[in-house]
Amino acid sequence: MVNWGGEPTKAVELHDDGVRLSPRRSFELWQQMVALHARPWKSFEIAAASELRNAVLSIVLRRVAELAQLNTELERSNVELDAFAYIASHDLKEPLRGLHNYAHFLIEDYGDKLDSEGQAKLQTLIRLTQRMETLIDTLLHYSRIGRVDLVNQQADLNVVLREVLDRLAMSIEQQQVQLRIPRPLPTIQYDVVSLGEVFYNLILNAIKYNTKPEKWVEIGYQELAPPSSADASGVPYTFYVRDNGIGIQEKHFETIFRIFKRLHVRDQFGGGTGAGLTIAKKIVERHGGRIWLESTLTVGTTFFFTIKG
Amino acid sequence: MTLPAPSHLLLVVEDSDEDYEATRRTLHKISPTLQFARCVDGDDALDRLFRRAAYAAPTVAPRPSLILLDLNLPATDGREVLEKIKSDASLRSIPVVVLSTSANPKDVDVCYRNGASSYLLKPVNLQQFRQQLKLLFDYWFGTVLLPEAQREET
Repeated sequence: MVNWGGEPTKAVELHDDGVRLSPRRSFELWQQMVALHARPWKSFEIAAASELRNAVLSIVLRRVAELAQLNTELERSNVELDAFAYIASHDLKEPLRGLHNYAHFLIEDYGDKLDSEGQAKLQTLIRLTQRMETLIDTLLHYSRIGRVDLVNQQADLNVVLREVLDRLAMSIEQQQVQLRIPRPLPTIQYDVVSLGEVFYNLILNAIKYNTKPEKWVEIGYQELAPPSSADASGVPYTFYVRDNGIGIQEKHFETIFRIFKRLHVRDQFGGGTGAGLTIAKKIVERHGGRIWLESTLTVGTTFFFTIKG
Repeated sequence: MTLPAPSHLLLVVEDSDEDYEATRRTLHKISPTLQFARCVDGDDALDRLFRRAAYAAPTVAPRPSLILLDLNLPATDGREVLEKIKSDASLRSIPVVVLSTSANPKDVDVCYRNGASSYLLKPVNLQQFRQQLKLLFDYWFGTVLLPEAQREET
């Protein structure tokens, strides 16, 4: 790096034709304070700068407008989707009811003309119409979750959990499941009805999908933040429902949240429509939380969900 | 159980032929003597009740003692029919029982608000449907007193 334009120590040089002065300071690096000393901007410079400013601003504004529009579109399409599911469900039910009733009328009016196989087939038809109705009802319920207003109130989770366990008493009794609640649950701000539904669905799954001789389900919480969450500070509670059940393969971790997705044939593990986790996920996300799981096949599964602060 | 007086007339407002068939069949089983009439949509029902168009002559459309009303009807829907009935001085005394596929709390609320006497959900379950209609029949035609049709003109 060159710092000097000449030898600073040789301020005076003697030459044949006399003395040549070379003032030291002239070799110093040129430095100047320009603050408060700068020249006023020329009009073309101001014009260029404000053009740049406008260009930057318009990019920002355009992005904001685009985002706002995307948001509106997303909101509308969500509302439309919910309304669609609702209307479609009702319109689907009418012909279904017709099928159901007419299958009955066939048995009643022409039963004596049918052999037992014919009768059995009509019974199957009736059973399928009822299954279809269950599916439609589930779809209706799911679409309603997105539309109903949430009533956020102080919810003592111990009370919520007790009510849920009362509703599950039969299954708990049948499966002989031991319940573990390591410590009392906190009181939080939440829509009580939907919170109960999240616990209900998670606990019901924990009870159902277990073939161990000694089954247990543990319900608890941590003040921990979920892994890979950017805004972990805004998540005061992570609740969990843990079981020592059959476990879930990691490749199914995403698909189990899909509506009507089941991992087992219909009547195994007590049946069900395959919507419990979908509903739980929708409720948790509507409250700004997250739901995920950890599981080891044959060892057990833990479902976690967060509650936004 | 008291048998219905012959003057009892049930008006069924139902656009679906299959649903109507289920209702007709069930009612006939419950009481072969019960008279009932059908309107296929909201406008048809209003024409009949207000004796307009094809129903202008008083003998064509006797006043029903009870109305069984479907909510989702083509064009003028059941909600509007209910409102028109209940805001008419003469017709409002006829009990209206809503029979609908919709379990939407809003629909239920609006119907009761507008004067429906009860709200039944149409099930995909024939046994249950028959039980509902039997209860309905026993209640309205066997238990309670209904306003007399003759008083309608006063």
